[in-house]
This record gives sequence, structure tokens and C-alpha cells, in this order.
Amino acid sequence: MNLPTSGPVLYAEDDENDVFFLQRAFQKANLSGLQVVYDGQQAVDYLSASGRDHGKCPVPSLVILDINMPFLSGLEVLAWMRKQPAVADLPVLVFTSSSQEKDIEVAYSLNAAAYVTKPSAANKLVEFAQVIRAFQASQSGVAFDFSGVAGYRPPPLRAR
Amino acid sequence: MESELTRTLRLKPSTLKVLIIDDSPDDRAEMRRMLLTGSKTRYRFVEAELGADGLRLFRDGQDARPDVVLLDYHLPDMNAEDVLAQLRNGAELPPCPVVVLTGSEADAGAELLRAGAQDYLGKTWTTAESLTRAVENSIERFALLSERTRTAEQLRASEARFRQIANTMPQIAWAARPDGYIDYYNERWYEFTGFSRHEFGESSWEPILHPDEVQRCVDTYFGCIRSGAPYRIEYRFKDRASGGYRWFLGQALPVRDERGEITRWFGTCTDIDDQKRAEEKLEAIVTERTAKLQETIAELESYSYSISHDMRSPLRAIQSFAQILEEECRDEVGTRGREYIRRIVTGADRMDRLIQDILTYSRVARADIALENVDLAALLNGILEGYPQFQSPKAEITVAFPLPRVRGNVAALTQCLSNLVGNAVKFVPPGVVPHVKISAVTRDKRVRVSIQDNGIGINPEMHGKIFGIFNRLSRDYEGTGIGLAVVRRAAERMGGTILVESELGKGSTFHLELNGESWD
Repeated sequence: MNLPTSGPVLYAEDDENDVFFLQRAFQKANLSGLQVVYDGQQAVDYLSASGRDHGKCPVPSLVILDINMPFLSGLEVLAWMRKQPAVADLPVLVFTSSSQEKDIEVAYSLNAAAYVTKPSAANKLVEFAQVIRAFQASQSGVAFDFSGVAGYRPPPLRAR
Repeated sequence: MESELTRTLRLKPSTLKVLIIDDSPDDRAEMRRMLLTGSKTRYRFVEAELGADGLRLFRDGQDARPDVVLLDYHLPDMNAEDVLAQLRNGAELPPCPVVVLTGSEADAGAELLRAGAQDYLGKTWTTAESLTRAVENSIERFALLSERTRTAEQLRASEARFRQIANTMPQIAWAARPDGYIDYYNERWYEFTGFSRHEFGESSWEPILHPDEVQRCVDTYFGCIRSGAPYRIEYRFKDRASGGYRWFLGQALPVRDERGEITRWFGTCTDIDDQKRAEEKLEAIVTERTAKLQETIAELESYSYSISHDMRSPLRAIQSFAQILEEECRDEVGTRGREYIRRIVTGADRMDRLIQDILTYSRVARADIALENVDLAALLNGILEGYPQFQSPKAEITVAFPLPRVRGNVAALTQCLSNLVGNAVKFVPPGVVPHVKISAVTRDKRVRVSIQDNGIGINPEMHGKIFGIFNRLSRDYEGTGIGLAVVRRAAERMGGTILVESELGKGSTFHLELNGESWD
């Protein structure tokens, strides 16, 4: 399957502040195409539609999922995605304030491209946005190496 | 102890009291004459004409009793067998030896011996020698016989006593031969099993054993029988009353003779079913409660963990917006505004550190800690090189290499050492360069790592408090009051302890005691 590398970055996040910070970071990094949804259900709705209506809901080049969200958690969205042929292979970045081993383990077991904890201050997000730009430029999809991002958490030993 | 026999022989009276029961005065005189001439033994004679007269002497008490009786077979009132029967009065032996003098060969000697006589002689061919020999042999044989009878009686009495004790016990009791063959059970056994009194044997308990336990019991029992080791085992017996099984504790000990050979086994079966069931119930309760408790603890932990997380989210907003404010609106807010922003950032930073420390603490407290052998020197080097504040000229830290390896967990050890060294360089008076000495000694498989500093020291009254969470001793130094609590929990999780030696103004030494490396 040929994945779009020019599609938007879909960001599922219920915290408006976090949305604002990432939007700001995208601006600062001269990056456009951040598509925001505000809970897990909206993420599922968008991704379902993107399979049918490319005009209204373009297939994302990257999905960034917060974990703690209303209706469906980010990990639930990820698990759902992996069962949908249309979006099963999309690169997914789990972006959360949780550093629980259990969450990290589950995320990587669902083939997340990276698990990144949110930085304590917004300035670091600019670098994060720059890495995303590099990711889009590289066209390497899931294989992209995100380990340089601040807050990157590697897969637990047994899952590696 | 002196036996009855040796006493009888040794104390053989120099004068033997002989009772002659014979209705013929001539015969009595003849017997006296023969005995007096027949040996050196001195005799004293008591005479009776009738059997009844002779028997009366035995009723008159110990002193009147003769040492030996010469009994004529045919007496006017009874014959010798009647006299013997009355003398024995149901006992194995008469009270003293009896020699019967028969008038003719028709008087059956064998009958007399069965009746309790020691010997018999035909009157017509009796000589002084033969009578004396018969009397003296009889006395000796009688002494031997009465000794044997006494021993047998004692044995019977002690067996009866044992049985009586065994039957008053609430337990089942049994006795076995050295080969394990059980030849005795007390009443409890028959009550419990309903077996007949003739069912004995090495496997007589097999029919009522729980089928799952037969092999184990047989193996254990005969193992002990062979080795002589005390026997102790728990098993289930079928309970006739309920149809179910009850738990028993079987125990037995060997009885050994003076050579150490096992002569007998004595054992008991104690009904421990009630205890056992109470134990099982208790165990089930404990298991259930423990599971509930673990559930609660896990819930609490995940609760506090997510609270800490949720707290970081608004904090991130505060920090980030303060930063953005500073960046984008620095001209509008002015100098005073920038100072306030700086304070917001400082406060938020402190809050962030606090939350992170709490998360660290809760992680140390609950994470799985796998123990391995850790190279202390490499670990410590890594920590010292990782932070600029641990390096010259900011701090002078000396390590007394080589350091031993310890049984620990890398993450927990890193927490311990970085906190302890961090404290050592932090708590110094202003302007003083921290000097820290790190050393380790091994004693009894324990390793004591000591971290000594030239810092401000700790009032001994506070030593008990410093390892508790949120306890800070000074407002002059940055800190959340969690570091030493983390150290203690981490040390405890590794089977270690943390101790402090310190006085105000004299520096502090912290001792981290850990298990030395091991391979089991």
C-alpha cells in the first residue's frame, strides 16, 4: 500500500492547551497541515471517513495520539486502527504525559512508530515539529527513527 | 538391682524350716533323721498330721511359713494334690517348694508336678542322701521358677498398665514389632474403624487410608522402620461416622534395647482434622484478603500515579504560557512583569520536580525489582561522570577503589547513590567546596557503602525523621524532601538498609548496607 507522505498530521488531543502549543510549534517550524480532533471517537470518525472521502478527510501522513481522552483512549484508537485495512499501516506517534511502563508496552505492541512523553515546557515542541517535518520529507513512514525526539521512550526490552 | 534369685540364694537361711505333713509319727521321725544326717544344713522342723493343719500354718502369716514342705501323699483328710491345689490357690506356684512322698508307684508323679510339686519320692526307697538332694534341689528350682514367674507377672502388669494408659488416650495408639508388623491397637482404633480385634498386620491401616495417600504412607512407614528414624506423617483416614475422610497426624518412635537394637515401635494417630480445616480456612481467608489488599494497593497506586500525572498537565500549561508570555509579550509586561513571570516559572519548576519525585518514589515502591550482581565501581563512576556538580572544582569526591560487587538492582542503586552523593555535595555551608569520601567494606556477606561529607551535618534528634517522605530539615536548600525516602525504599527493596551518623556542623556519613554478590 502506498502511503501518502503529503497528507496532514492528524492530532487527537482533548487538552486545548496542548493543541495550542503544538499548533504554535508547527507555525514556528513553518509546518502546515495539522488536523486536530478532540477525542478518541472523533479520531476514529475522521480515519473512517478518510478511507471513503479523500477530499474532505485526506489520509494523514502521521497520526499523533494522546492517551487519556474521552470516549476512546489513544491506545484504543491505535488498536482499532490496526484492524482497519485502510489505515492499519499509518505511522502512529503516541504523545502523552503518561510514562507508565504498561502504556509504553501496549503502544509498541500495537506497532506505534514512537512513544513520546510531553515536554514540561512548550519551547521543546518546536524541535518536535521540526522532527515531524523531517519525517515527512524522508518519506520513510513507519521506519522513521524518532529516537532523537526529546521525551522519546524506547520499547521495553521484552517487546524489542 | 539385685535379683530375687540371688537374694534368695545368698540369704539362704542357715537353718531351714521344714514342714512335714504326715499322719504317721514314725514316718515323720524317719524323715527328720534322714535330713539331719543327710547334709550339713541345719533344719528346724514343724509337723502336722493333717493337710488342714499344714495349710493353716500358711494362713498364720509370713513368720510361720516353712521354707520347704515334705508332704505325704495319703493324708487322712485329703491327698497331696488337694493340699497343693489349696496352697497354690490359683497361682502358678505354691508359696514354697513342696516335695511329695508317695507310698506306692501308683501315685502318679507327673500329676503331682503339674499340681505344683517340685519333686516326689517313693517312701520305701528314700535314703538320707536322696531326700536331702530332693529338698535342696527343690528349694533352688523353686527360687528360679518364682523369679521367672515374677518377671512374667511384672511384664503382664506393665503391659496391662500400658494398655490402660493407651486406652485412656484420646488418640489411636498402636505398637509394632521391629519389622513393622503392628500387633497391638488401643480401643480408639476399633471404635474409629469398626474393625474386629483380630485384624492386625503391617498394612492393617491400608483399607481406611485415602487412596491418594497409600503409597506415600507405605513408603514413609517402611522407610522409618528400616532406618529407625522417628516416623511422622499427615494423611487422611476414612471416617466411618461421616463417610468422609479426616486428617490425622501419624507419629511413632522406636524403643531400643541396651545394645541399641529396636525392640518395638510405639505410635499414635492424632485426629488433626479440625486444626487442618481451620488452617485451610485461615489460609483461604489470608489468600483472599491478600488478593483484596493487593487490589486495593494497586488501585491506590494507579490512583496516585494518575493524580500526579493529571497534575503535570495544568502545570505544563502554566510553564508553557509563562514561557510564551515571556517570549511574545516581554515588552508589554515590562521589567516587573518579567520578574513575576520568572517567579511563576520557578514555582512551576519546583512543582514539577515535586511531582516527578513523587512519581519516582511510587515507582521505587512498587516496581518489580529484579536483583542481580552489580559492579558498584562502574555504576558509581557512571553517576559521578554524569553530573557537573559531582566534578572538580565544584566538588572533590574521592572513591576508595576497588569497590565490591553487590546484589542489587541497577535502577534502585542509581537512585540510592545519586541521591546520597547529591545530598553530600548539596548540603554544605555557603562558599565551602564539598569534600566527599566514598568507601565500602564487606563483612559477613554484607557490603556497607559509606558516603562521608563535610557538610552542615544533621542534628541527631532528627536522624529518625530524615528518611520519611516530605521531611525537610532546612529551607535554605532546594529540595522536595523525598530523596532520602526514595533511598530508604530503594535500599529496602534490595534487602538493604540505610543508616546515618551525623552531628550538626560536623558533616554526615550515610551508610548504605547491601547484600554482597551471590549466585543463588
